[in-house]
Amino acid sequence: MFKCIIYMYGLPYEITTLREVEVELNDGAGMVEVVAALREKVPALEGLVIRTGQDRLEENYKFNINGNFYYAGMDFQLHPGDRIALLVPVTGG
Amino acid sequence: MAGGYMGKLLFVDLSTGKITEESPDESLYLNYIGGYGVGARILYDRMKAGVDPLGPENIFALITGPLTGSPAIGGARYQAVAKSPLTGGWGDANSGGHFGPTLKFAGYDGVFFTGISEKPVYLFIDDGKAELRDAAHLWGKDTYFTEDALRAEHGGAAKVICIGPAGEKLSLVAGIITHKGDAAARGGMGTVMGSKKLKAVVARGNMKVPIADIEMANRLRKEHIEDLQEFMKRFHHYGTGGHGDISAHSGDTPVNNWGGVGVNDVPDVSGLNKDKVIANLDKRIGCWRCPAACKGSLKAGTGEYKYPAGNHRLEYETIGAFGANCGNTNVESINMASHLCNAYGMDTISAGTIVAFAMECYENGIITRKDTDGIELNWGNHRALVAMVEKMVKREGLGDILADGVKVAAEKIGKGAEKFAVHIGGQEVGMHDPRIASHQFAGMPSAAMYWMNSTPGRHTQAFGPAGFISHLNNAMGTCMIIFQWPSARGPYTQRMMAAVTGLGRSMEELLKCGERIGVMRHLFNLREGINPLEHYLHGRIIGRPPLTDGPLAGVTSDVEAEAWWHLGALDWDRITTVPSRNKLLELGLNAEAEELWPPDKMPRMGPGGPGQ
Repeated sequence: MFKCIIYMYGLPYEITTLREVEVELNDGAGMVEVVAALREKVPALEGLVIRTGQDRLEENYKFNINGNFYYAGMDFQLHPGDRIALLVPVTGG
Repeated sequence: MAGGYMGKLLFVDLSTGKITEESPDESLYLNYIGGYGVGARILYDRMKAGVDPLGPENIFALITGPLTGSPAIGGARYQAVAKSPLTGGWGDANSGGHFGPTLKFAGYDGVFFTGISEKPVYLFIDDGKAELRDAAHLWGKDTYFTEDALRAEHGGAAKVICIGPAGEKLSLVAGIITHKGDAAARGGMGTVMGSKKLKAVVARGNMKVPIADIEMANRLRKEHIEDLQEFMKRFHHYGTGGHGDISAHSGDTPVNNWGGVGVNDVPDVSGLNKDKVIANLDKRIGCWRCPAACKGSLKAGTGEYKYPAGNHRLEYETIGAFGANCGNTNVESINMASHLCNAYGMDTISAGTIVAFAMECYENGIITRKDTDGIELNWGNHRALVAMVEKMVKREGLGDILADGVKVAAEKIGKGAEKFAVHIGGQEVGMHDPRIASHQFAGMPSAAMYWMNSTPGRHTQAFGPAGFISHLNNAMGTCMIIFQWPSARGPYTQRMMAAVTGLGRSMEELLKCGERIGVMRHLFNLREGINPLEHYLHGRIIGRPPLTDGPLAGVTSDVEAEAWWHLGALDWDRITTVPSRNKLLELGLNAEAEELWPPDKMPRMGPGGPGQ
């Protein structure tokens, strides 16, 4: 297990008012594990950022992991030292 | 003639004062729909390559689409087209308001201008008749005065597009204003009007736009409005400016001239909150017959910034450009800067980017207080921002150098200023960081879209096959936000076009028109010697080098790969970007296929091949 800080930007921050969320993960954790850990720490994300009843992000939300984006339908393996941020592009005008 | 069209185009030679009317062959409308589609075809046919964008040979046009002035929601737009003095290539810009529909009610689908008038004039189009009138009394006046004066003279039913002093003084980022704040401002279209001494165009009329099946069109309108209730609520309440604070921290809005990180450089963005943006709202207003009415009119500024009543509520792009991109969160200063740009006729995206450029030059000692006449152009100094915008729109002091955009300003300033001149192909870039999207969806810009578009740096036009619907929408004369985006949820585009035109064309056929329009704009640029792969692209826009903190830490857009895939999907050469012969023939561009791929220069295919 390792401690991982997920940085929150834009809407995820607006919803939670948390700049960062610390979670505990197993080495090699993927999308399902990270989303589940995030839900457990911040239940307010359910239905807004995390799909209700699923360990998946809502459409358009994405993780930036070391400069690469991952969103619903994609997977990754997270290791100690990796940088992870949660964000969503907001559009209009 | 298909429904939706008035069937007439006006041609005005400003050098001679001669005005002629043409009834184009229906095929022009069928193939190019309207808007910049018709514009691209006519400018390609009637303009030579290499003309001076500010000279008499440049053609400037205002063109509507078949859904402009129809029951289609958002059918209120017109397109302005010309060779751009800012980029040296294809130029177009568009806006809503009431002018587009009224131009059709006055009897015309579009009006084209050539030449240069000896003295300032405006064109008055009145129910099927047009005449040039003296505009000496308007020259030097701002757009508010000009619109008021012309409507006082011709009645409230008359609708006006005009330029302000920025266009008259040939600022390369001058725009066209209507409705006292709706702007067709990108690419220097207002500059072209200024070069022609064309102050304004006034339209007035009572003609009806012919609609093939008015009952169906009205039924679709009602259905579409019901379908969009939730979508429209957001835009009605806040317009496009409802997320300036969130975007400043999400990585969407560029920060400190595209070089900063919102959470670090502008930690408190509460000043850009949506409720602050509408705090001084007087009333909500809309374009012609738009049920969303996403615009707003402000009360007079009573605090530090005394902008007049009627100043338009901020759009997102303006918030981004004068806000986080300048490290500024004072919304009243942004209201003031927006007012100055609207009154003097200057593009807010470019103007905000230019101020950000100047701030970074100042922070790095490239320009000093002596250059700025004492203005301390530090990041986030909202008073300095407003003062510099005022200098720019009036072309005073350093503002005279800045008024031609960051590319020209950097060349004039020297001392390494070019490294802070964030632009693509000469044009300042829309206020959505393409790194956050990485591919096109929901209207979000991508790096290749900014880079490869015929009007580089634009945030509202996709590149690649995703651009076909965008070109179609712009040609139809409908609003991207209220018609194009939501239409993706239902077949309103195809059904409304069928009801209005009576042609019953399939969506596939309409999208083919969108593709043809995109190719036509591109051919215009190719003829000018412009290969979009050679567009200058500032590294900050794509993360070269990447930011080291914030939501976009480490992100670099793979812009070449994106362009490579799109070029393949378009069947354009991946090096020269010339569309293939087969593609040109497929689109019915036979003459262009012969011109670009003459048979004697086609590759020989070996025994039995076409070269034998």
